[in-house]
Amino acid sequence: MHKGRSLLTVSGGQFEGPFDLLLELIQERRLDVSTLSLREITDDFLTYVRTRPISGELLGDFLVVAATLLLLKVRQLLPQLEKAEEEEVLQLTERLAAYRALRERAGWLQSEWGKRCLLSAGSFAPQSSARSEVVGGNLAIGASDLGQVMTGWLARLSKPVRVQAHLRARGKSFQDCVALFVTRLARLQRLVFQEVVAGHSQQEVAVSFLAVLELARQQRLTLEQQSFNQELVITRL
Amino acid sequence: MTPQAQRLQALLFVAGEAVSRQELLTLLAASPQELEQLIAELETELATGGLRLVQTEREVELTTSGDVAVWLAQFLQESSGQLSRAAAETLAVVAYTGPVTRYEVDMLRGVDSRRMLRQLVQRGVIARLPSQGRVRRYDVTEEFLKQLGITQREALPQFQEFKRHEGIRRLLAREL
Repeated sequence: MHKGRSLLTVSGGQFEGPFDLLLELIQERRLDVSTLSLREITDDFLTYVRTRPISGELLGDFLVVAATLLLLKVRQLLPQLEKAEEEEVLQLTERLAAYRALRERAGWLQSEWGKRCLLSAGSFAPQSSARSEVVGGNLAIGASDLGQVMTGWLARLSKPVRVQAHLRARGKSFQDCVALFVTRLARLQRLVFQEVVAGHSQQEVAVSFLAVLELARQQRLTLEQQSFNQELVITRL
Repeated sequence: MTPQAQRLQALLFVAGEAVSRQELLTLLAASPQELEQLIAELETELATGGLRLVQTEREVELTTSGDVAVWLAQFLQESSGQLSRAAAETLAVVAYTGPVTRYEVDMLRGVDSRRMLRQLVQRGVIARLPSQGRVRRYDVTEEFLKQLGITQREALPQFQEFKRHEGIRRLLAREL
């Protein structure tokens, strides 16, 4: 029987799952993967499950393995296990052996990842002294020319609107727009966004667009547009 | 190089990313067997240069070679990011036994792998394949191969041995 330091006395020990823990316990005792070794480490495994914090995501997986290990213990007392339970125990042994092979491959992937990346065209543009020439250095244009262009451009800009009143028309809220699309999609399978917002103010169009994006994020509808500036088709899910 | 192989090389160069085999068949007006021969011819031509062909069952991409990868790395601004153990385990299952279902990944890892599979799809290193019936399978992408500096999955260490692993074959109940 193995005595001395156990994984349970080590302060760290984060395990990726129950198989990870099983393998560590088995290897710690220098055992092979077999139903015999699983029986040997059952108590340690169960103590770990009882005493260590395990994330909710993994807890179910740990408990399933714990139940199988308990079956092994019971087999010592009741040798005549049902066939299905016998197979469950054997399968755990097989899965553990497969996991051990898998873990070695995963270790290689982790160590080699990103060390010798193959790159596609355009992955980066290497800098060189030849590229340090000023672009457009031969253009016959001076500061006064640029000044004239700028003046002409500013003259063509529309003057800013001076706000005359304190009150502004209140457009539809985000919730209003979400409700609008939900209501319409309840009646119709398919809508065209541009048709729905025809005649609306710019602000309302923008808020409506945010509303359909949110509904798409909630997977209540899908959005489809063949190409830029084409109809945006909304389909109820 | 034959004119068709030159066209294949030019197509892959201007694409600058993975191109599906299906698309190549159309663009080159070639049969599947002809396309495989063109790919083999291009591979032979590239063998001594600084470029390679990265291939999955679905796509082909022209990339730099592993021989120059370390030298090129000095010009890259960002690294590709590390792999967590959970990500590496999940990737190992998909790479060595793929195409593979989520159930099969869970079976081999012993844990629910839904979230990890989703993350790896978002990272672009595995892809969800078009579903056949109700079953959806996952497989590695050319991005996975590129990150490891290999041109096809068969170059993974002990690939054939892992595929022939008796326990894995029995657990997955299929011929690998």
